Amino acid sequence: MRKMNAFFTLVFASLKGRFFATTVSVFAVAVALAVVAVTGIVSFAIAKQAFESGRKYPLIVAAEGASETQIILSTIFHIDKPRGKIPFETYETLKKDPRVTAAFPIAAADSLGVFPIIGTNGDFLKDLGATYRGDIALADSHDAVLGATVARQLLMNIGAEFTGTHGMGGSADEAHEHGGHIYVVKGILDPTGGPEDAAVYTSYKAVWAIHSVHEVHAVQHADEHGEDHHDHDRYHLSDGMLTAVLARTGNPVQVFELQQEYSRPGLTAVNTAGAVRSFQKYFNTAGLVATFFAGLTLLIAAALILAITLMALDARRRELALLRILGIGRGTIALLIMLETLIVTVAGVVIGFLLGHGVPTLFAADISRLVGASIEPWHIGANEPAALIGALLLGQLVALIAMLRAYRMNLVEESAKN
Amino acid sequence: MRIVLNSLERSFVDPAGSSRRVISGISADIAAGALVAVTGPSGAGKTTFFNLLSGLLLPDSGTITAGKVDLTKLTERERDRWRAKEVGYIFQTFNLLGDLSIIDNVVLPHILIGNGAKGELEKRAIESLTALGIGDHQHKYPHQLSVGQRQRVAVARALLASPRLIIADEPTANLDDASARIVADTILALRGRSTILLASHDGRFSAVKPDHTIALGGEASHA
Repeated sequence: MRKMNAFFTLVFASLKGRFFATTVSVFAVAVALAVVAVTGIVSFAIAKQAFESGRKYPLIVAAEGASETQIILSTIFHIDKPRGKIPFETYETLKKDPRVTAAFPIAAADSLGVFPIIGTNGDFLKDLGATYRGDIALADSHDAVLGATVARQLLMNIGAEFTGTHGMGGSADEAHEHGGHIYVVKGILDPTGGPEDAAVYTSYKAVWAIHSVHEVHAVQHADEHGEDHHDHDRYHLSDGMLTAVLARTGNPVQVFELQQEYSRPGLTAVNTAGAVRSFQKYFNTAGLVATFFAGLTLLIAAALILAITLMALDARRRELALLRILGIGRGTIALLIMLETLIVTVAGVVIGFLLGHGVPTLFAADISRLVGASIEPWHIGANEPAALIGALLLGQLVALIAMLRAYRMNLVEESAKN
Repeated sequence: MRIVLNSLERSFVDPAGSSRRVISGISADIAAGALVAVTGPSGAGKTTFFNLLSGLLLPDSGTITAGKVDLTKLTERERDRWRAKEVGYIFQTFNLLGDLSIIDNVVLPHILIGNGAKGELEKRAIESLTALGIGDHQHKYPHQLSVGQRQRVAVARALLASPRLIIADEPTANLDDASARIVADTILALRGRSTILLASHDGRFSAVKPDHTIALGGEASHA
C-alpha cells in the first residue's frame, strides 16, 4: 500500500509538472466526448417532441412554398419563421369536415423578447392537456397565456402586462414594437417539457387586430428600410389570415385523403408522421455527422496525447535514467508512464461526460427554448457509450505504446552520457 | 562490502559499427570499507566502470563479486534489487526529480524499492538533511535550491538506506566551497563502514590517501 502511494505520488507529481500538456490533453478528450453527449441529448429531445406532435396533430396545413421541415419547425417547435399565410377559411372548412376530429388555428408573427407569440384559441390550449394557473380561454383579444419558461425567465405573473414585437427572433431592423396593443397575462401553463414552455399564447384575433392597424404603416416602414413593401408585408397577418392549421383525424387514411385535397395552389398539406420520419432521418444524419467529427476530434486528441507523452518521454530520459540507477526496474518505470497516460484519458472521459451532461443541466431551459423541445440532460444518446468506450480503448492503446517505448528505452546509456 | 573484480572487459559498438573497448582487463580485490580512488582522464570509462559495479551494465567477460554475490550471474531484475539495497550513487549532476519536493526526492525512491517503512525513512531523511545543513528546505522543490544544496539532497538520498557500496562520480564538481566541504566530509566519514568508489579531481579528496587506486586507461583500444 505504501509502495502504491509512493507510486501514485510520483505519477501525479509528473502530471502536475507537465500541467499545460496534461490540461490540453484532458481538455481535447473531454470536448470531443461532450460534443457527442450534447448531440445525443438534443437529437433525442427533438425526435421525441416530433414523434409526440406527429401523433397529436397528424395534419398541418400551411402556406405553399414552405418545405415540410420548415413547417414542422415553425408550427410544432416554434423555432423558425412561418413562410407565408393562409386564409382563415381553411381552418373553418377543416373544422367542419366530418373526417376532422379537432382543428386549431395558428397565427404566429410576433414575439416577446426571444419567445414567440402564437395566436390561437382557448381550445388549442385546452387540447395541450397541460395543467395551468388562471384562465386559458383567450376570450378577449388582450388575453395572453404564458408558457412556464417564459413566466419564469421574464418574472411575469398573472396580471402582468406586455406588448409584442413584430417578427420572430429576426434582425433588429425587422423587429419593431406593437406598442398600441397591450396584452394582460391571464393564465400560466405548468411545465410540459414541450415547446409550449417557451411560447406565449394569445387569441389569433389579437394578431389580426395588431397587424391590421400595422398594415397602415407597412408601406412607410418598408420605404424607410429600402425594401419592397410586399416583402415586409409577407409576415404581417392581416384580418382573416393564419400561418397554419393543425388538425386531427379519425384515422391515418383520412390524413392521406385530406393531404391530397389540401395540397393545392396557395396551400401545403403536411402528413406530420411522414414529415417527422424524414425530419428525424435528416436529424439523425446531422447527429451522425456531429458524432463523426467528434470521433475525429477524439482521434486527434489521442494522437496529441501520444505525441505529448512521447515527447515528454524523450525530455524525461535523464529523470527516468535516474530512477533506473536508484534501482527502480524498467517494468515499474513503464507502468508509471502507462498510468500517467491512462489517467489523462480517464480524466478526459470523466470530465467530458460531466461537461456533456452538466452544461445541459445548467442551461436546460435555454437549450430547450433554443431547440423547441424539452431536453433530458442525463439522457445517454445512442452514440455516447461507443464514444466513451472508444475513448478509453484509444487511451489504453496510447498508454501501451508509451509503455513499450519507455520499456525499450536504453536508460543506462543515458546515465553513461551524464 | 568486499568487491572482487576479475579480468573485466567491456566494449561498445559505436554508431559507425566499429567496436570500442572501454574497460580492458581490470582486476582488483577491494576490502570492505575501503576507499578506492578511480582515476583516469576524461573518456577513460569511469562512468562505464561505475555502471558495471552497480549492476546497471554487464561486462562482456570477467566477473564482479560484491560480498557473496556474483553480479554477472544475476538477472536484470535481481541486479535492480541488489542495487536498490546495497548501492548509494552520487553523481556530478543529474540528480533530483524536479516534480518532487526535497523530502519526497529523498524518501520516495526508497519506499518504491522497499528499503523501509515511510515513517522511519522520513525520520532518517530529516535527520540526514539537517546534518547536511538543509533541514529547513525539506518541503521546497529542487528549482528553489542552489546547485550545492541540491547535491547535498542527492547525498542524503544516496546514503539513506545505509548502502554498503557508495559510488561517487565527481560528487563535488561545480559546487561552492561550503557545499563541497560538507559533501566531501560526509562521504569520507563513511570510510570503514561502506566501501567507497570515488572519482574526483577535488583537492579535498586527493589530500586523503585511498586504500586502493584503480587507474583506467585514456586511450581506447579497437577490436
